[in-house]
Amino acid sequence: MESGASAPSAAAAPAPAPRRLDILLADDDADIREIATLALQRDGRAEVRSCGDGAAALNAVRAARPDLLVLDVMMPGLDGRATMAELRRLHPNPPPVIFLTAKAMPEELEQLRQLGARHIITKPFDPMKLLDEVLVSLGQTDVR
Amino acid sequence: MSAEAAALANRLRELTVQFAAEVPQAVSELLDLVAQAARSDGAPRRERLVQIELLAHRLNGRAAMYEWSRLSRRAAAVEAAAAAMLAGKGSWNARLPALCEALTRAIPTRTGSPV
Repeated sequence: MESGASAPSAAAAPAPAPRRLDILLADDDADIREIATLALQRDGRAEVRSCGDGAAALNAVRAARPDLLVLDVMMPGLDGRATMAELRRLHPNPPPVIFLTAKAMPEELEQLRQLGARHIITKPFDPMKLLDEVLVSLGQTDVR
Repeated sequence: MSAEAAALANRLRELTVQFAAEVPQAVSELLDLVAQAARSDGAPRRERLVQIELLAHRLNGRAAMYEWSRLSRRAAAVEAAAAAMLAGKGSWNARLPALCEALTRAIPTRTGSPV
């Protein structure tokens, strides 16, 4: 039996709102955290949890697996690279990672790619374009 | 511009003004750390260098974000010198104080005015 054709009331029901992308952001700089959070949440397609270091990020992943991690490379304590390594050690199927870095030397970017980063965003980033850049890197094609 | 984009732009302006007010204190802290590093050696110097690298890195990152390129470049030079010293296991680089002095000359003179 095919469903749907004889159920007009179901067809009239509003479509569920698309789920927001759950992004976990770790950066030790409070200003950068605030700007990136505002930029990523600005049109409601994503919601951001944020923290100031790698250890807190790992705890947040343990509490609820995000769709994406955005990690600053240079943080005190557990830096971005070490956080990603630990994430891969702890989780067989870790969420994708995008690095944020102020160092744009080609060799450093290559190192980050070799670690398995999905994408690398260099600082300064354009807050108005950050969300689109993230969505494109995730292969989401409905970028406005 | 959408309302969300306008709100973001407004907040960026507020943060830029706030940052301008904080820069002199951050640079002063950096100069103190460099003076302490010059007087110390071994593990204490290394600890100071790590602090210098991190503080200069934050200054560089924020200044770049707020499009203060001169301040950003000079903070990046301090950061790179500290990183090089750390990579060389903490041998003293006499350029570091000079680079910090150059950084003081990139402090914005008027709140909110890019330099």
